[in-house]
Amino acid sequence: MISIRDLQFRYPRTDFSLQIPELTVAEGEKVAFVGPSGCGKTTLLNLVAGITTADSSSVVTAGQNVSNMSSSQRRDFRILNIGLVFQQFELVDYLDLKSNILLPFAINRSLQQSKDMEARAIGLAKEMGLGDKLKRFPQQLSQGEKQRCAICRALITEPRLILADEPTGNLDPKNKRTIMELLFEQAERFGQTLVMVTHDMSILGGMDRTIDFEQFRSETPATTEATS
Amino acid sequence: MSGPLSLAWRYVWHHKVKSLILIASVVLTVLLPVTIRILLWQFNQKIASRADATQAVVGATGSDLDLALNATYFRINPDMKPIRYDEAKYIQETGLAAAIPIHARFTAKQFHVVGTSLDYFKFRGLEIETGFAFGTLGDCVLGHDVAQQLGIAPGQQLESDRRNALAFAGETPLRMTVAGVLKPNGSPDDRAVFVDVKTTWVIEGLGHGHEDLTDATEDSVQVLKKTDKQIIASAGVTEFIEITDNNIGSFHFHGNVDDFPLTSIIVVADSEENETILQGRYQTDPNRNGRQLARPPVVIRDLMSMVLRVNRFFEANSLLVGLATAMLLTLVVVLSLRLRAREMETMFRIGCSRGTIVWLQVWELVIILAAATTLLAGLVFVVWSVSGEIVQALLVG
Repeated sequence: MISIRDLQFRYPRTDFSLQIPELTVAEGEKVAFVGPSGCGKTTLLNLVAGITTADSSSVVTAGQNVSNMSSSQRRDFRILNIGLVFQQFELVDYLDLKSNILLPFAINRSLQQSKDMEARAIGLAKEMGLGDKLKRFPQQLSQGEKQRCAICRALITEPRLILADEPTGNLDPKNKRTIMELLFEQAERFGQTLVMVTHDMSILGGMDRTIDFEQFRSETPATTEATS
Repeated sequence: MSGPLSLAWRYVWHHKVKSLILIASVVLTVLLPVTIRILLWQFNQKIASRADATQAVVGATGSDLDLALNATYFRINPDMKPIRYDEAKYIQETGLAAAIPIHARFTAKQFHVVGTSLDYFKFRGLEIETGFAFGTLGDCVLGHDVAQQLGIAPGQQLESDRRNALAFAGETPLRMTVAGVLKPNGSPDDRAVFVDVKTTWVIEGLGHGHEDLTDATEDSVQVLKKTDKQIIASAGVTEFIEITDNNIGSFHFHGNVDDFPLTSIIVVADSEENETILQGRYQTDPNRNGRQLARPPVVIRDLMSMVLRVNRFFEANSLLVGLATAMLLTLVVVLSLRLRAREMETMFRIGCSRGTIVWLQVWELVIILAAATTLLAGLVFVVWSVSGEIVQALLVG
């Protein structure tokens, strides 16, 4: 699902650099990226999703080299193939829960919203225990409910890959467990690949593999600069 | 609805208070100068058409504007001096023009009471809708709006207002009988009460009626002193406050009617030449000292040019206010964008193009401006619809 070779990346005007000679994630695999803050875990998620690119590197996601795509191709690729889950949920405050789940359809023309999609959104919400909160706005939801809504948004496009950046970072232990169980359950049911950045060692038990990013950290700046 | 438009609409709808404040800011910034412009246009139209229909007026020297407004809108400046009734006779006798007396100093239920002659109706093209024109002393003819607002009809009565609540002597409220009601004609005449000029002199206290003391003896309470030639009445004499068929004979004027006051005279000349000759006499004849002939169209044109000059300053001010509002709106939008940076970034990360995000902002602005424009159009329509009446009411006072 993900294949990275000779990745050398650094942000302009910073000391940060990331060097990954080789990294692969198999289809359907559940992988955790761990490591101290600032070691490049989120940066790699951005590179894999095509949010950020590194010109001279090879980042192949879902069989396509995202480094060679134009920005509009990367956008369409992302929305069709990748579901993103963020630590801060990042729900849109003026949309109700159902509209937040369907947000990808409102912002990209390559997805066509249909009655089926609305039914799927409602179905997902019910599975996540949000069936009675479809008309509520984010500010009327608890933290756990917000993250469950954000997961529904990530899953609504039926992506092949789910990239979750510290999805349990803002949750209490009970909600943390629930969210992880839901993520694993959904990923397994649809054969989705799950890549998760986390600092929380307690949730690593459900993952197939853990990659420690300490090994990719470099003291010398990499040569390739970020573009987006 | 397309994605960005739908999202924009939801944003505007969700943040109703902010949206309403923005809409109100735009509407008020534009509505105020537009309203002023509409009112000025109406003011110009109404006052100019009325002035054009009144080519010349004669009155006491002083403000020609006060004189023109008295003859056309029956407005009275308390400082305005009266002229004598024989001035109208003089104009008639010159053979250059006809004279229509105007004595507009009193009110009834806040509507101007206009003392004039029946020639006035002919001059203004006024037609009686119900009833008759005033025939006898104490009769009045109501303008259409007066009859409607007061809800009175021919046969009913209307009492003149006391100009000063403390003026118990001299000027007495007169209960007038409504003889007729005029058809509406969209002019200040709709909001006036017309009476014979002599009736206004009765209101002014220059004429009155009271019980007959010819047969009263000196020891009666109504008589202070009685001689062969003179009866001096006491305050016990009953003065009539209403003119009826029974008491009309007792009404009489003290003094020479020629000396009685008018506020203005409408001059109806056969030709411009005659009018110019008459104007020349008022400018050169020493016997006409203290009086002037004014041309309302010229006076009003001068007034309007001054008003428009002042309005230019106001419009420049409005432009600055508009600019300040535009800058504030820009600031609000920029601050809003900063507050929503994370939302935009999330959309971008999920798969939204920067262009779509810009369109989202543009649609929000379009919705705000469209709502403001619609509201503005509605309010301008309302202003336009009532502006004529507002200006008429302001002019008639």
